[in-house]
Amino acid sequence: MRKIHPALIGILIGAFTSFVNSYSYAVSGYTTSEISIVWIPILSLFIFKLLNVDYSVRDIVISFATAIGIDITTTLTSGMYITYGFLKNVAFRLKPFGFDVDVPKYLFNYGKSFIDLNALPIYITLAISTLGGAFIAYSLRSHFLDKERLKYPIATASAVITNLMKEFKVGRKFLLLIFALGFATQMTFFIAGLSIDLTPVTSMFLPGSVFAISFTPIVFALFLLLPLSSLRSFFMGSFLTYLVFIPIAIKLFSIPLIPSQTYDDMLFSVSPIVLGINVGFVITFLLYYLIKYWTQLAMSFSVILKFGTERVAFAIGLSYIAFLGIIATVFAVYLKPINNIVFLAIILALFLHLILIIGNLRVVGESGTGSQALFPLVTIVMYSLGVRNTMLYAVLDPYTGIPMPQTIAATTMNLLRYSRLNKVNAMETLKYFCLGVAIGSFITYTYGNLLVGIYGFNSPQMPLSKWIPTTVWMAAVYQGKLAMQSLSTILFASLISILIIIFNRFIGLALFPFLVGITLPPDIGFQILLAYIVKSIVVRFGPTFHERLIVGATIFMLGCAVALIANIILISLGVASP
Amino acid sequence: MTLTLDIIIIILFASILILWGISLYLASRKGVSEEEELVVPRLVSPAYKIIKIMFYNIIRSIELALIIISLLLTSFSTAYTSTYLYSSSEIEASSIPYTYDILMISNNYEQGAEYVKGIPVESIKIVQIYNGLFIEHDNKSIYLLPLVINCSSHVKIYVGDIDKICKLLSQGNTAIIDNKKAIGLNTIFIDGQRFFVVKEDLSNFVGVEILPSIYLVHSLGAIGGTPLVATPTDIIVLPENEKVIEALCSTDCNAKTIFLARNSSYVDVAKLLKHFDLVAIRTNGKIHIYSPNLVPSSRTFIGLALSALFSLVFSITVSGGLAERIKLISQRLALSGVTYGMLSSSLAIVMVAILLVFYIPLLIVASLSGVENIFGVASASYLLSAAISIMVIVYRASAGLKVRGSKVLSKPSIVLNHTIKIDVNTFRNELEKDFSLDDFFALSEFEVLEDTNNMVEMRIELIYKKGLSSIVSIEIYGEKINGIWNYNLLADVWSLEELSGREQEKLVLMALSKIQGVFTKCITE
Repeated sequence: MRKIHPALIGILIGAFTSFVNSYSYAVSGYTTSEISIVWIPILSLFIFKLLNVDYSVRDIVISFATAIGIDITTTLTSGMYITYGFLKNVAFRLKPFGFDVDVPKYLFNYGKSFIDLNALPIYITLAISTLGGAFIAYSLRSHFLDKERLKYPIATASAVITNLMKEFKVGRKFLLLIFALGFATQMTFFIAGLSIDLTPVTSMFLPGSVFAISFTPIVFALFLLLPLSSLRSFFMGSFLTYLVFIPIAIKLFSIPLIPSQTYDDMLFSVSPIVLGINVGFVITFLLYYLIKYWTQLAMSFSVILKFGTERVAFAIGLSYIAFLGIIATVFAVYLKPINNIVFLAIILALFLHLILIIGNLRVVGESGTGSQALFPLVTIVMYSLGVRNTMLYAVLDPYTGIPMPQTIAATTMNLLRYSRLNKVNAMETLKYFCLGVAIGSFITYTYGNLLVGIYGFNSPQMPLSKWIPTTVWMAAVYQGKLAMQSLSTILFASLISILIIIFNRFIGLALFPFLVGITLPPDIGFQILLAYIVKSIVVRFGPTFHERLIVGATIFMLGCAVALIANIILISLGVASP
Repeated sequence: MTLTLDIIIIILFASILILWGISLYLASRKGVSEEEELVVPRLVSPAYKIIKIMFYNIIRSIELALIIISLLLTSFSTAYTSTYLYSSSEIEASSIPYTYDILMISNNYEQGAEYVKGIPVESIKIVQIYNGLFIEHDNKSIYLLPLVINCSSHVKIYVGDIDKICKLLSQGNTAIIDNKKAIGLNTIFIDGQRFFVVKEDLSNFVGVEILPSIYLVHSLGAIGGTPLVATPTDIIVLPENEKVIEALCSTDCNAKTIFLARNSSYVDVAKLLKHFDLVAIRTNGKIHIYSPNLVPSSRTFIGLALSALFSLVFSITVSGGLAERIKLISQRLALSGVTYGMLSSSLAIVMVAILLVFYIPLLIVASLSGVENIFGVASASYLLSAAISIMVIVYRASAGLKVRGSKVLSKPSIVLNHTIKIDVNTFRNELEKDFSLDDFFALSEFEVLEDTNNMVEMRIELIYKKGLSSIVSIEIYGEKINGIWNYNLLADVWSLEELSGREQEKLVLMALSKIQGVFTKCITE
């Protein structure tokens, strides 16, 4: 038995999973980043056993922390680099439509050299600044894990299964069968995707409603890991938004609709309305949460100020967030004539970042996935204050821009819960996570450059058509093309959300997962409904079956992940189409 | 040295790396290890046996066979007699200028007007090509979107200056750009073919709305109600001929074809929808918009509802005997401790599995039957009716077993009064001794928060052995009031499992009663 430092194994695994994610995201739009928390520890275990390395539980946690640090930077660097590359590339195509988008060289300037050195400093700087979320999460861990007693279900599921896999307590035949099933179903999905567009039917009865039925195995399996109350809130949020609130908003505000649109076209058309509804709900729910938990939060903050470690961690976190503000101010001063509103926008955005970190920690703790549900609030605030500078959005907006301290905070909290369940020192875990993020940002930035260099923006493997909706949407925000109906939608949504809070006693709805549900399109909502039905039956059989469901769903997801890798290999060989 | 933006960015880059290094250094010196228990139950669940019992009893029953046959027959008959319509909507024509009687839009480039042959129409064809054209002029590259127009027949379409434009294009080698475009261009070459450039006012022509938020000119759709439309100055109008189309559309053609037609007689919409993605007919002040998506007619929906109702009545009629037999088995199982939840769920799982298996023949027959569009309605009918049958049977077989327990305690707490103060160490020893032998709970933590002459505060954490990470935490507050010790025991549950309120209450009561037992033992000894 040899001894290798677990961080090295973590770097190896992180480099692999982030490569899979970057590649897969660019080529097909899918990533395994949501399930990384579950499949990375299993990969670590596998590598340790394969290399015949002597390991302890602490080693698994450390390699996990490093690997997920690297993996999470995919969404920050390579994903955004490719997105901004596409935006720059379609800019001339959008010009006839009144868009004059300027993507500065600091965001994308891929030229003759192998790696884009113009944009490198900004991406790495912003990626590392996101660590502010990690330190704030660390300082608040006692509040969320002990006081609010949040489950962080994905982390707990991951701990359960690592525990079982360590000693191979699960039957091998069962594992192989489920793995093969996952692989087969996901491959079938890639070859013959199941998707039934029901929008023409529903829009005949409810003009403006959007609905479709589809089934993506990896998504379905992920939802089986989440608590029942969250699943219920997810699909109710999704269905209510797309089948009730949007048609009402369209009728109420006389928003003209293009007739006879398909599901995808409708999603694009109604996206500002969804945004307005989302922001309306987020504002009310966040205020409600802050008011309800005010005493507990205040107590937690006073505890933070008393304990040395937590105080230092919180201060470090704040300094990273403030650093984002400094970067934003520098760009505001140098790239456009300044007015005071811009500074107000920057300060408000920073303040919102802090509030949303706390909010996202609560959302992910309760529902397992945050899904960027809270982020559009920052976009709308910056938009309403008149910010029209691409660079400012890139620096400050977690929704369309690069840094996402809220997601990093949630991942850190998941990691801390995992380390607690494995009895490992939290500070050590955080240290390796930070190491992973720093190293990872360089690695994944290189991947982004590689993909652009190899494929360019016109290849069949990275088809432009997939990116048009995203880039047009970003261009619309940066150029100020969103209609003012958004404001009325926000007020409308706030009123409804107040009603929901009042009636919550009788309905018994989990509020924060409802927010996440609003951002989920109805075809995902349908899969969540299926997952809810399946899980509610299985859970009644007792805790052993619940545990088996968790194990089974995880192994199934692993099979799907391998199918994903197989699919992107086939795409890159030109055998399959994206 | 002036501080350019590039230099500042390098400074910021260096600063963040320094900040990162500092934070890592500060972080690596401290920290404590907090721990949580991860409990995984090691029980043998009787669920498989129960499912097997249910399965054997159900599969051999005649009632199930009858239900399956009725489901298949009603689904097939509903689907076979279902009718479909093209999805359509209707709008007021007042806001749309009168430019056509029939509008046909295709999301691809359409070659000829063969599809409109056989229909006495005169039409003008407009092709929006989204692959732009780069025109070199004055060392600059100008990007224009081509709009190809074919005014084949002599049409009287009232669209702005269409007559003028058609006349200009009739020569076959004219290109038109908007007169507000500030470039001096006389000729351009597209793939070797020469075009003479003429400037005209295009805004009247291209800004014409043909449907809400759809214009003659290119658009990217509408976002939140605001249409994203091309500006007239970025358009170039070209005549349609083979060379032009080949030049613009050689590899992949991202184009939309619009036919504006005048007609005064009957039109076969169904035939048109086979070739176009949208057809609109304007009559009597209204515009009817059709798309090739088929939707079930209202008769079909009524048929579906009727078949669901039938399956409800039928399953109630037929399931009596089956429900009685299952009830008998369930009652015996319930005596052995199987819960209502487990019984109803195993019954539901068995029914769902069997009915799903019989869904497959329906699919096969439906796809082989050759009747169009039968699949959707057949599935909907079958799945809906099956769900209703399952609910009826599960309800009849297990409803009587649902235990409606009465509440013993209104709050998860107990108050005890004694004359003496509890000795904390004796209590701790007794707890450890007792819970080491307990079947249900294990003692995880025992903390004494306060122990004075007038107050005692303790916290006990118990792990439920038969659950998935379920923890009961009990806090004991003891206070001496007027010479009597008043002890308040409060309990709280946290679990990873999906415990209902009742199950949580049961855990709490069990834990509290055990703690009360040990407490009383210590205080009376």
